[in-house]
Amino acid sequence: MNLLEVANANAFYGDFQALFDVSVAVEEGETVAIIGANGAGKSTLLRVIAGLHPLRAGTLAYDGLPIQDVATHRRVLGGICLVPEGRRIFPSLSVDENLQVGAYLGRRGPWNLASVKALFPMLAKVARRSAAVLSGGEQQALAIGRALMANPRLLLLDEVSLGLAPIVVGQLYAAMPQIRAAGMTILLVEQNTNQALAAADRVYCLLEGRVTLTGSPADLARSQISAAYFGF
Amino acid sequence: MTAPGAPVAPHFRVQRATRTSRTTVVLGVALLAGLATLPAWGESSTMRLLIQFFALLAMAQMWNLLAGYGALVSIGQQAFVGIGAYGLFVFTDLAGLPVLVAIACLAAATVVIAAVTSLFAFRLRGGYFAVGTWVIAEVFRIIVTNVHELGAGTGVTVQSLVRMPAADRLALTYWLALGVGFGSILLVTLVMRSRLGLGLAAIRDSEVAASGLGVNVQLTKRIVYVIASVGCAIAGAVVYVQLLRIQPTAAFSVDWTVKMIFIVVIGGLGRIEGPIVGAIIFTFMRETLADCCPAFPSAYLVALGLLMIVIVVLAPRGLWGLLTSRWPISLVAIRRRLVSRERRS
Amino acid sequence: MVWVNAVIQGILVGGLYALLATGLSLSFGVMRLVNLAHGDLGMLAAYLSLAIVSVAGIGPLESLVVVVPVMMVIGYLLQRSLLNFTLRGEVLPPLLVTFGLAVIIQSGLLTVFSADSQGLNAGAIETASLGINDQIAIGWLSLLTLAVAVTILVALQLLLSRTGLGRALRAASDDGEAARIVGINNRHIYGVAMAIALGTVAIGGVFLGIRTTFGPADGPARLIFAFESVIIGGLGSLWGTLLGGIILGVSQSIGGQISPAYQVLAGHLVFLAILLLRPTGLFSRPGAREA
Repeated sequence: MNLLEVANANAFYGDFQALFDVSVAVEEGETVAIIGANGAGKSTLLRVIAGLHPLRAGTLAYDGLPIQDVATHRRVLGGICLVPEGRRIFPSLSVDENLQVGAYLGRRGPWNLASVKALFPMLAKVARRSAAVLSGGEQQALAIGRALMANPRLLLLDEVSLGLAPIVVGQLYAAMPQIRAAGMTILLVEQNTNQALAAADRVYCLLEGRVTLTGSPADLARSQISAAYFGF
Repeated sequence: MTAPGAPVAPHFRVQRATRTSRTTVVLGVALLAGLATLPAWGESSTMRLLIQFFALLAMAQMWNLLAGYGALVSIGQQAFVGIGAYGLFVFTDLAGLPVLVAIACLAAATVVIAAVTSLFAFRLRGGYFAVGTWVIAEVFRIIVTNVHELGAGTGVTVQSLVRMPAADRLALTYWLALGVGFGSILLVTLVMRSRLGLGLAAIRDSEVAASGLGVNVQLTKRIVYVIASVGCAIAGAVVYVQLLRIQPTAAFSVDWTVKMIFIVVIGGLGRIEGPIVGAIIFTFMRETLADCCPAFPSAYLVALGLLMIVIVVLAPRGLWGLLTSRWPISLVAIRRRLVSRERRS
Repeated sequence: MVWVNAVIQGILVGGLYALLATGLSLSFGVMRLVNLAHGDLGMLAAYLSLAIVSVAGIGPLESLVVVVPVMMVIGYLLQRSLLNFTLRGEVLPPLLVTFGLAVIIQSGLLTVFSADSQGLNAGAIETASLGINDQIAIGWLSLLTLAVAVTILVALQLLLSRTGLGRALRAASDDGEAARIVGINNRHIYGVAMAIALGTVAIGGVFLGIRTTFGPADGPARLIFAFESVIIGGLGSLWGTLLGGIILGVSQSIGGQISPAYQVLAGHLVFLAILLLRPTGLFSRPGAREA
């Protein structure tokens, strides 16, 4: 049984349809990437899974149970954690406090202040600083760390590389194996296709709200991916 | 085929009037004409009721202009009602001018006063702007209470009007109220049909986007604030042509704004028809509830307060909004439509 | 010397204003909600105390043991059953609903208790004072009020900075959506914030009721004093609110010394001056929400 099953998801922004019958499945322990151009609906999909955006039609099953009507904070309780687009760290809290509030629900697991800071040593150095004065890369690490503090079963990563220098992106993705090794299931959204393909077991490509391709990176040719990404 | 560089004739024009709106104008003029004859055949109690109705309607239209169209919630409009009242006194008694001229003068004075207060008020936004306007109203009240020439705490009576025969004064006030009531509808319509109104509607939807399109957000808001203040002042003056006795606590009482808010929100925020519906309901509820429970004189306020809360949560567009969601009619033509110039052959 | 006394009295009443202001500041900070019924809810607390005092025969200070929890429950329920539904992102609904509430509460109090002036009698402590010299005397009650105000502010500050609940309140105030994704139940947290707000305004309302006489229509004046304290002190800082309250108190006291008619006006004028010259307030935290 899949940990997450999205079936025929349809989502709208007012009259504008962002997702058309999107179906995605993620097995426990897998890392799945969703790639696609800007506006393809990738972030919308993650927000729907996290509970920040309503599904107008379709189903969402987590661990076999339907969750499309479950409130966001309850999904976190169940183990779904989103690292949102744009980081969205809390500017009036310090780095430590941001991490601590990540553990608000007190779910048990391997991730705590010590282990998160071991994963991202840069956070240990700025522990007391206000989160507002961090660099982009530090903020992204903090956002990921904050989500880990909730000890999720399903980690949703939205555009980790957005606005960051390649070297910083590399550092962040270098932490992935450790997160995976602890048993985490990861669903990540990326515009940076190379990074996504390198990190994922399987990949979905979205174009204008529809799934145009799915498979494992090893089995897919560049030309296929390109066609699915751009539509021609 | 036009030559490159030659101006292209626009294929569209902006049309606002609809058949409904044209009918409304005709009916409205007829109504006004009919109502104007009331002093000849009507009862004074009816005229007094209508004076209150039209004065409140005018004030509500002004509040609607601010909040419904401009998204500026003011709880301080009573400042200008009071200024209108005392302005009436100053220009008729102290300056000896006839009533209409006095009203014109106090309108001009209000423009200046409102412009100055906007300097303070617009330092704040949202809910804090609301309370800020209230503080400003309180400042006016306290200042007037301490000015001897304006009667200080005990207030003044507009002597020059006291001397007028009661029936004449009633008729005068009544026509002034008609003028102010219908005038306010006309004023808001004209404002919203103008470029200012278009800018205001844009600001209401998105300040940032409006500003990016070249709308001067600050200036637009201030102009609207001044217009609304002048409207309230004139309406206030008309009320006191009838009441004659001006006391600072009553003239600057927040109750004026309470009534404006109830009328607009219950009737329908952001639509010109809203305050009309609201004023009718307000008057009706006040009259019926005042009679039924004499031991509970503010019963109608509680009832209206509850109604307003229910409407804000469940039907935020007010009663007119509820009505038009079923039957989309617009009595007043504001919406702009692009209509093709081409003749149908 | 009489001016020094005026300043001292102003400082003492400033704590009270800060207490009234805290709830307003908290609900704006966490929920972007300016509660126009804030002052009237403080009056409700004072009248509640009055009712308990007359029924149970205890003093108003003792009645706080009942009044504060009752007001906190009212705050939580009010937020969850009504105010949460107005927080859809637009500016008008919360203002209109709380305004309607204010009118309803005022009318209700007027009907139940009549328009008569009331007072809460705290007994001997009201007149006992600490004489400094023959021109300055500090009332024990005023001192107690200031002490209570500062204690509550310290406690609130500790709650916000040291506890999980406090972190959640600050997180929700920074970014409501991000708060949801770390598992915070915003509807509940907003209820807690309103409960705290009404708890503090209840204490302020009762102390003010002991200090001066009050009537059903006094709510708006309290709202205005609370609001002025917040703006003078600057948003986003509890200590700013305390200092704002003290500045307001001192301004009123000095104005009142010049002439009783100028007391409240002096506060208004200082408030307007701050608006004109330093709209963010004197002690605002950088990054705090704009008014």
